[in-house]
Amino acid sequence: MAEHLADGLFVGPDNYVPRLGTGDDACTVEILRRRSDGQIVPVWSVVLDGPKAARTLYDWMMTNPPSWSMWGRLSLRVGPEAAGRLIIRAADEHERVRIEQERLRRENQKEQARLSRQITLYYYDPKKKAPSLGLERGSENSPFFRMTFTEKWERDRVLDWLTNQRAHFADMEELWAEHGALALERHILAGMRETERVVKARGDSAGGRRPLRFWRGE
Amino acid sequence: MMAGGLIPVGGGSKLPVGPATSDPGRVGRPSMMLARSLSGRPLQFGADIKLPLRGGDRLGPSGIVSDLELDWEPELMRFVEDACLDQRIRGRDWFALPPVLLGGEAGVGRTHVARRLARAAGVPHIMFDATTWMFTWRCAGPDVHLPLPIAAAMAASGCANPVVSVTGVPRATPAMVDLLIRLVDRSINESFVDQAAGVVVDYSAVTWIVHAPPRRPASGPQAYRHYQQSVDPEPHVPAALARHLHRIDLQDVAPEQYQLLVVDLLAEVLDDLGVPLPPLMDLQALFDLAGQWRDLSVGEIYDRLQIEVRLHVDDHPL
Repeated sequence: MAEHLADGLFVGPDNYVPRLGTGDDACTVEILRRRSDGQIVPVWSVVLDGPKAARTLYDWMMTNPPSWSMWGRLSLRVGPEAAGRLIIRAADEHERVRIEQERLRRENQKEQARLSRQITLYYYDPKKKAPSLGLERGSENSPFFRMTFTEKWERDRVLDWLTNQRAHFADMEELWAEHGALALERHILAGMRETERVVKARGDSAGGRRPLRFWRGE
Repeated sequence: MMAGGLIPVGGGSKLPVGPATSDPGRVGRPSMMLARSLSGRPLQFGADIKLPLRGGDRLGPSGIVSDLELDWEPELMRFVEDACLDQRIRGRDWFALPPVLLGGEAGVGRTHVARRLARAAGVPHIMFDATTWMFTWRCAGPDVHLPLPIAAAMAASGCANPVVSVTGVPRATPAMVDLLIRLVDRSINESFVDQAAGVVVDYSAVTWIVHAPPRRPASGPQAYRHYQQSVDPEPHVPAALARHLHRIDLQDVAPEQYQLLVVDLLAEVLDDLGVPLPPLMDLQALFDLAGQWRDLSVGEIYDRLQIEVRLHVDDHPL
């Protein structure tokens, strides 16, 4: 049934607009058309399983203003069934994509959380630059802690000890976060020296510049 | 053949007498005598009957204008709106437009618009090719002039006020141009003498749409274009005919309205084939495919849509 023009229902030059039913019609979504004589008539409607489904469909339709005229015209010229087919299918596809994106987002979040718990030890030998080692979180692209040396053997000497401290990387990160990079360096060097002393006293030391070269942790 | 005196037709014969026409089958609907025999003998195609004048119930704002909804053709829409209003004001309860010269770029959809108009008004659409010499050639001896088929088509369709599309005018012979002038000139087309058919025909309720040739795209410097015009003049509608026509140039549909045109063409295809939308047809895929046809003419888009529809319709195998 035609209605008199309702204020604010139509925006701009568009002659079609979706509308969500209210009250007893809360499960209904329709497309209204504004005719050239100012009368408003429904050209398409669908009754969904519940108000929530109707609201979901309506909200999606409202995000697609460029399609309103096409939907309305399709309903007028080809038939409401054709328009319904197009609209519902597009809405279903949109919902499917949204659910998939949400799933991917959650998975990505989980993965990021997992990686953020993972700390990896790297060593670096850049050309014509000082050798170094670093501790890096799995979720980041650069090390949070970097220790630079003058000689490679100095770096490798520390690596011999640090490689077997994986279980303590998280504690080291905490120490770094609380007291800074210098404190962590001191902690690492102190730990390395203490282990070298113990291993040497036991007679297991490799001797030379890298006493812990063949040490495989305690 | 003995010819009787000319019997005037049209004018008062179009106006309903009393409550309506005397034809019980057409109570409430205006009608007119299409043609009367020159010789008094019964006409072969039975045009000595009253034919309905249709579309009167669609002259209001909720009718033809609302149905057309050609937002990208504001000039055409205003013209149709004014013509419908004029008919209502004059108490003419049938659809009719003043004669039109429909212009625009090549492939813009002149025939599509004419058919849309006819459909919206509820009247038939008749195509007439003016390049033919068959109705104007000089007959002598045993030769028989061919009657114009337009009146026969009107009688066959049972409608006195169809939309008639006239194509090929730039290539029409001078004799054909003269004939067209007699057909569209509102001061004389009420009593069009068709000697070949032996009738006087009332064409005054016909909506004549003459298709103008597409404009040649401008290229090259202006001096060259002048030279080109002198050796190869741009096809045009003769001025003697054009002065009887109201020129309307159709516009190319804007990108954001292209899908609306596709909807209209799809509806036209389904209507022409007499089938509903096939249940297995993926409409979104069809519109996505149609998006690749933007540079084609309206006729070509129609053809491709028809192919797509027929692929899904069992009764119309390709």
